[in-house]
Amino acid sequence: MPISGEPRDFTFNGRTVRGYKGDTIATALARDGVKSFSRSMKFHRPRGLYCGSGRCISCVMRVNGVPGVRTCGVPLEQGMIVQTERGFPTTRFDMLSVFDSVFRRQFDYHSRFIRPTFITPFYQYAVRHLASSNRVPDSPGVFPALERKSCEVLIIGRGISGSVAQARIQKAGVRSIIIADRQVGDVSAPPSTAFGFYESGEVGIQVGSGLQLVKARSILLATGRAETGLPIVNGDIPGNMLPEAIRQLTSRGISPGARAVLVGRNELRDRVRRQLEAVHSSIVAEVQNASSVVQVLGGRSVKGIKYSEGRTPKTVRCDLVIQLGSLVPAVELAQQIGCELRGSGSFWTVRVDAEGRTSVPGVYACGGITGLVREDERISGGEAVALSMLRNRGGP
Amino acid sequence: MRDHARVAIIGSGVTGLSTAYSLVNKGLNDIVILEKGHLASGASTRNGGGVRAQFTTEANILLAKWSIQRFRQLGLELKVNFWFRQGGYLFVAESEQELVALRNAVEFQRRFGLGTKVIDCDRVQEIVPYMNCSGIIGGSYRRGDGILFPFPLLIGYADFLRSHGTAIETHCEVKHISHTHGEFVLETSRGELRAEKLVNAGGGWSSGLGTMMGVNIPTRPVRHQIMAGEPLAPFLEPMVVTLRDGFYMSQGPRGELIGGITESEPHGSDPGKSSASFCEQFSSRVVSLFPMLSSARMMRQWAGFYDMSPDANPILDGMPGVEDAFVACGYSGHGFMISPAVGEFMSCLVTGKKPPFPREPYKLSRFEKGSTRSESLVIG
Amino acid sequence: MVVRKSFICLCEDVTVEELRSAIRRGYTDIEDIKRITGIGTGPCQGKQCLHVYREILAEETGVRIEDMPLTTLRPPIVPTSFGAWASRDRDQEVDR
Repeated sequence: MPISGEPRDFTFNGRTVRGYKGDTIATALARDGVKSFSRSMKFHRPRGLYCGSGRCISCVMRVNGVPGVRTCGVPLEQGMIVQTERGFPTTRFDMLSVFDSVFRRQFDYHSRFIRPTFITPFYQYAVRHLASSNRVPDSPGVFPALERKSCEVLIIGRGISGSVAQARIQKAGVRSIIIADRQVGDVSAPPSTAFGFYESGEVGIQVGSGLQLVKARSILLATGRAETGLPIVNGDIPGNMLPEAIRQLTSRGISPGARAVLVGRNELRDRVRRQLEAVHSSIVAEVQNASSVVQVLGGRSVKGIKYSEGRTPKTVRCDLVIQLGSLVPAVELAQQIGCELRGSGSFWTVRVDAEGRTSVPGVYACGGITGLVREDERISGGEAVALSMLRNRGGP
Repeated sequence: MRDHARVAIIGSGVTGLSTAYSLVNKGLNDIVILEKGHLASGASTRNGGGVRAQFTTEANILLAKWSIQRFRQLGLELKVNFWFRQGGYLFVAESEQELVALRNAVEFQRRFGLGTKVIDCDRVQEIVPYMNCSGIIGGSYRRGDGILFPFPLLIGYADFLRSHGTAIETHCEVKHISHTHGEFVLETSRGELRAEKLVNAGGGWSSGLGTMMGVNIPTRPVRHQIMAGEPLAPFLEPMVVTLRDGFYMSQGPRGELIGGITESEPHGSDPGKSSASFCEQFSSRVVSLFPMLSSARMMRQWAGFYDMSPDANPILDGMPGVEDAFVACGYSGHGFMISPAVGEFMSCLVTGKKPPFPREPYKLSRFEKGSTRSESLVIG
Repeated sequence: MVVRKSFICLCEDVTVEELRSAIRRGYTDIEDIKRITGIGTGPCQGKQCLHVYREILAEETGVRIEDMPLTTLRPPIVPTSFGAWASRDRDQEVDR
């Protein structure tokens, strides 16, 4: 998503920051050099832009008086009021990070604060106020009316296989189609995220700030695979990112860091390398096996990484750690619909027959969620399921 | 899996765990708990954690009052913190008829020494600053009611029981029960168990278990949905309940909103499924009562069973016609909050001691005799 | 410098060490440990952690990853505003 150059100024914790049309709040802040977006729940560790796809809460801030906003998914608008919500006195310098030092390995709060009992009300008060600092929204919001719709075909996901299927179905003249696609961080079209399957047979879709409930004669699940991170030591602090966050920054010409280390290995590695190259970030090391990582070094953000290469311990200075974790089939909707799942390696995928039909009549699936990995297979899978859906029009 | 026990308890929810806990404390520790799902997978891990003594029958008030006292000590005994916060329960009335009902309820409660107060609209506004009180004409409030977090209490019970020799067999479904030669033979999905005494603590499945033994237990499982909203800084002290539609909402220990409503549209019976109509109905109420929360967000919706008894009072009794078999069920949406009392009650029945509560209000036979007073404060 | 910690759940700040403690206490069921530790019960509802949780749990309990089930993935998959659910009829402008 190229930056058009049209400036969009907003305030961040009271100071004016320049962003541009085409930015999300997170990318504008990243360009400005902001690293600490929030502080974690128990230990008040700094967190920054991490997943870039609205699937974590590391980038969450208060926007125009509304708490808990995933800044990686919100298009930047002129005059937005953005504030961090956690940390005392500030998110950048948070005294409550003392909890990180006091509770050095874990903090199971169900086994604490049990005695003496006369202090219980104070413990509860303190813990309640420390657990969440997301203050109630400043004002009642205004939302578009909930809409109910019906259509012949609902396609959920417009990745590689979903878009091929869509094209094929539209080419055959089917008009009554609704497409839902998350498009997080792509500000060209409002994202429409399918968020639930309900008893009535309706699929809930979030379009902008409003909701739609869609009843479809047939549903195609093409929700693809989701990126996940790696449980490496200190893999949570700012400067740790997943490939989607890298894509969002580099596609806007923003460098995620000068010296990057890739940890782990998945199919997105080559794409990540190309993207880093385009913004002149150097890859200073690649640690293919995440278990070789001893720890990520840093305080408020990544400063380096310690790992072992064979028997040799190595310490490398870096400001960016890219976690290439597993790409996990996004089967949430399939599970809610009641589609049978089938194990595939370490993943659960949607079981389909040769025609792309799931175990639920009228529900089809293709692409990554059926366990396909190779791009050519996902493309042909999209074609095949579209043809199957067209053949079965008028029946399940 | 063990093949013999003195006491078999069917159900590892809070009833089964609390009963086993009381039994162990009475010195009886040859117990096996049989659970068809994961630990406490029924209503006990699905409820909103509300704890109140504001009821309209003696049957419920006695158990609730006793239990609230016990909740204050249980944490120390089990060495767990289940975040029992006595922030109060606030019932609100939006019509004269509802206000009269609340006044009657309060008068009844005060007979049992509960300090519930009838309050006016101004006081409601004071207690819940963020609430839109324009439609509210009054309410009832008891500070000693509150909310707890179920999971650590359940785990605390389970840890204690396991360390005292109780076996908790999960993923173990009872398929058949017979009673011969003074012994129960339970055929389960994981083998056979023989026991001298049997407690049916099956929650929403109690009636089915009763049928297995030829006993008619007139309860039925009714699905109720519930939701959690994203955590917010503390702003809501009590559990707020409306009489008109059983709407309830409070904040959990992490600030998450928890709430439900009595659904107006006919709803399904599968706790594994969710309805959009629940979201619409619940959200409409949230937004009209708490306008500032319209930008707050729902993050999860789930459901569980209320085991509904005909008068919404629990059934705590021996199983008629089957010696040494007992049943504890029918909580109608308020089982967790009376579980300490239920555990004590049932452990007394099992060991032949006299429970510290009257027996009559909880007997199965009350339905035939017609001697029941119905509980009217069923919410959610 | 932050203290050395590796996380299984970022929302609830659950460390891998806390997960191991729960297993040492004798729990192995994915649903039980979820409720003991809070893994997957925060605002992301397990989207970031479920897969790694299954992997670590399988490894630590000796269960094959293929036999490690998913937890129940309930709606809404992304958080939805009460106001959006409640909004009716009138044409309204989007307010941020």
